[in-house]
Amino acid sequence: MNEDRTHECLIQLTAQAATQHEGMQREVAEDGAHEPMPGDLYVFLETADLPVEWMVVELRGDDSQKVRVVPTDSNPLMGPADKSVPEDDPSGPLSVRSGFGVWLPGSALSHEQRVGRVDRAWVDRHLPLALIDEPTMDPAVATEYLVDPELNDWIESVPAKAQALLSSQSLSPPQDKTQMVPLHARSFM
Amino acid sequence: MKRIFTEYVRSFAGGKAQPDEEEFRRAWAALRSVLVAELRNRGLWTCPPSYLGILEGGTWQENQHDGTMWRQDALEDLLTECYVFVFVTRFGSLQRQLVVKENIDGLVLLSVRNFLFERQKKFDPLGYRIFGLLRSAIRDALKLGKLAVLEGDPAIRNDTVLGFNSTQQLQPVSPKMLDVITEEWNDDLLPDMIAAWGKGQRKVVERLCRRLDLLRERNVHAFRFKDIVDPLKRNARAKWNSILSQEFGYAEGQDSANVRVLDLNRTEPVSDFIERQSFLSLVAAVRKVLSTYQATPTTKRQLGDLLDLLISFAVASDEVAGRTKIPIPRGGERRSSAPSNREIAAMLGISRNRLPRLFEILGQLIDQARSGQSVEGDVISKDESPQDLATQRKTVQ
Repeated sequence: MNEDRTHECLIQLTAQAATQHEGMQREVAEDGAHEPMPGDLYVFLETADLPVEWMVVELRGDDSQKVRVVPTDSNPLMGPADKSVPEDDPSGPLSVRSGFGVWLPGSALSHEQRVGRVDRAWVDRHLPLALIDEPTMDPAVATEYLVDPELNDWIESVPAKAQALLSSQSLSPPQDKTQMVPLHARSFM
Repeated sequence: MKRIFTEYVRSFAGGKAQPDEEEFRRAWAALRSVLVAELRNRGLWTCPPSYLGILEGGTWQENQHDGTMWRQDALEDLLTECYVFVFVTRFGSLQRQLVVKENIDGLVLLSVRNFLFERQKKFDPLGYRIFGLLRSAIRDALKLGKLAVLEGDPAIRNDTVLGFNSTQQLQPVSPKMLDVITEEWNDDLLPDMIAAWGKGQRKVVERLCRRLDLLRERNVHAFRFKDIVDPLKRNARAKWNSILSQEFGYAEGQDSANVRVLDLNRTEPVSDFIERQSFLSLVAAVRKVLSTYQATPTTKRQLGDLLDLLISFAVASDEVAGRTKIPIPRGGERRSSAPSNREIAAMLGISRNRLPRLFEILGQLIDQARSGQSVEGDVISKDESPQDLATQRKTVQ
């Protein structure tokens, strides 16, 4: 394939990616203002210096809700407690750093900050609340992670830092878990 | 400073179907500069392109005339893959960041780095692993105050100069001296440095740390990281390939009569993508066949462990053989090089007497998987690499 043909293909591929992104943006805009839902992606000014988006994974089941969000990024290196949103998801690929969740007041999440959405079925299947509460690590994989300095550096400088930055606005997690209704189980339709 | 990448991504806003070609050319040229700079920074510019999964060309600088102009094939191929990684696959992420950022050029740079990490991990698992282990050992030594960063990136990169005394003006020793020393290290650290999993890796880091501590006794008071990691990798590759050839008669340009080799037809280099998919498809097909194979859980686990080990052999030996294969001793025959067989048995926690039978079964499973491939087609997740498959193993007791 000659160079011009390769470049034409790449431009077309980028245009397709742009069209797909536009479609997602349109859907999000058409949704209008609504309560955060699992899989919703937000960006915050507080973490604008970092390459992260925040995914909603849980909230309290009353109107003055607390929302739990976890950082996601597009680095494919995966730690032992991370989950990978596949490339064919409209907002993928994303690496979900599930061990770095933050509780926020629901009011902190505005419609304007919502930038995308990960397929809800994927969230239900791959991000059980138990994983967010206590990220589990296969000991073998965890050790692998300890001796992968590239991944280690990324985790320290991106999701861990993002968590620290956003935590200044955070709320304590709800004490009584029986009062919590995970968003996974709620219907907003 | 002009925000070339930011402007390029913005140029697609509003569903613009065809961006200005000039904008593409500017972004392409800028991406090339960033990529070459990163290759140099990571010491990859002098490595064969195959270390990053590019089969074209023996060096990054090699030029080819395509009839109309000279082009650097290997670099162009890597650049194309890098572009897809950054601007196609992750286009949505870049656009979403524009909501809170004026300038995403820094993100593109970060993405190029991530692209290279991923490629290294996938296509040069041995080099990536040794780099990681040594860097971990040096970081441990820094924490313990045994070493100090004298110059360069404190995050420990190729240009970092380390010394045992931060108060003195120390000059790094010659790379030649470290070449000899690291060869001795490999005599002690192999095969664990390559084959250890789980907690075993931590022990390798500790052993490396002790080795670093002993450098002073060899009159090494300061060294450049690159000068120690490069020969360590080079020597480890040579020794590892020697283990392979002893064990499986696996040598460049020939298939030993004593070895049955599963050749994945790499003689015609198509695209490296197809190449990779072909090997990965086979690995996935073998796993699928293994999952339904009727055997005791212990046997199935042992077969899985053995398969992982063979995959790591195949990947590590790739540069010697010039093609990716899964080498299996013929008919479960155990070769005379008993020490290597013992090492395999020790690594996997399997009785040596059991290995021939396991090889035999695995050979049958591979045959079955191979014959089923053409019928089933592509059966592998695009994200699954030999390294991924290997790292899924549990710690071998």
